[in-house]
Amino acid sequence: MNYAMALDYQNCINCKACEVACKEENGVQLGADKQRIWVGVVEGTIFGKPFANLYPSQCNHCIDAPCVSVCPTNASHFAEGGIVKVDPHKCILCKGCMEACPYDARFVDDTMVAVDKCTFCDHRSLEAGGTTACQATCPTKVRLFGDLDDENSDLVKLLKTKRFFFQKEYTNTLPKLFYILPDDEAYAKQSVSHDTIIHTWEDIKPLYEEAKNRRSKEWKK
Amino acid sequence: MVARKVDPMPAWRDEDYVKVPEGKFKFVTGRHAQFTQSSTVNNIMLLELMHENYLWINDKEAEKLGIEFGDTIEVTSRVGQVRIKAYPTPKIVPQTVFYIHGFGAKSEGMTFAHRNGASDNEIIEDTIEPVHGCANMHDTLVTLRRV
Ligand code: SF4
Ligand code: SF4
Ligand code: SF4
Repeated sequence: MNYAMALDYQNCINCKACEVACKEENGVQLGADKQRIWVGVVEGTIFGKPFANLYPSQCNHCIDAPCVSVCPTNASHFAEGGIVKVDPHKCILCKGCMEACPYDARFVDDTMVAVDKCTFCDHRSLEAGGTTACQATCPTKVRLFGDLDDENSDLVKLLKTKRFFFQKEYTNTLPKLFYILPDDEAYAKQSVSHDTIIHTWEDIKPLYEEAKNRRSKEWKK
Repeated sequence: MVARKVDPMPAWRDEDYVKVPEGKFKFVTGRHAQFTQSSTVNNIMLLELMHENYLWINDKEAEKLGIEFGDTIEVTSRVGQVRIKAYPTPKIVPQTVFYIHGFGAKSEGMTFAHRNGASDNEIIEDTIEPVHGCANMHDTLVTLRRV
């Protein structure tokens, strides 16, 4: 098992149903800066014409997760299938992981007195037929949670037919949020930067498999 | 309807179009995916996503008027006056201002939403569309003043 998520971000309408569903499902602390999940908005103008790009996001559950390496108490750890989690009882709030994460995916939950982050809803998504709260609630079906090791999963089937990219790939953490490149070329050009590397399943699969074999000894069963 | 001199099919009538005189703005309103009708106004989960509404104004026009993000603006129509913070943006055309419906509740019973920004109901004029009988929400002229 190697859990990951694809995001068909071109369908995002910034309704933020996923943000609310995540808070409800996981009892995340209230407060606008207490988010396991968010929609990144990039706005601007091209020759005077305004545009907005939306990048729904959350923890990347990186294979080479710096937040795990940096944690002095092993509170941050790999759970089943490479899901990156925090054990709140071991967390001493040194906040090293928050500094280490290139995606700003972590925050302090004052009610738990610990760092909190996305869990890929492993309490419900790993059950047969289950999925994450954010995927279940999205009206435009942006998210697809699945297992990279299962060639027959909807996730791998999708990745085989589409091209995709990662956010901040240059930080080399081997992130597992796969952003699906829009088929519409004009929209793809508008929403992907010049130096973003576009991947296919064939080119990325060996790298991710090798990394999984290297790191999965640390993954809890 | 014809007997009552109402077009049974919608037709454009130049004389019904509200032109915007120099120095005034047309106020338009609208809704979010998050805030729709009355039941969403005081919902704390939704207010996390947006806790206050802002006045959209064309960025170039705002610059000319010396209006910056977060400035308090007094918006005055023939029927009312509100205060709201400014949000200059290229996403709106000149001579038009906008803020989202469902904010700035007058009632203190709306514990989270009481006066969180401005209410559009307080400035929209009461004119009625003759065919479907709804209020004309986008025909109100307003003036702006930075305070
Ligand atoms: S629920 Fe879906 S469409 Fe709405 S903000 Fe989240 S990802 Fe975007
Ligand atoms: S996105 Fe951040 S919190 Fe999530 S695994 Fe990667 S480094 Fe850790
Ligand atoms: S997978 Fe669950 S915890 Fe993670 S962002 Fe989605 S709803 Fe929140």
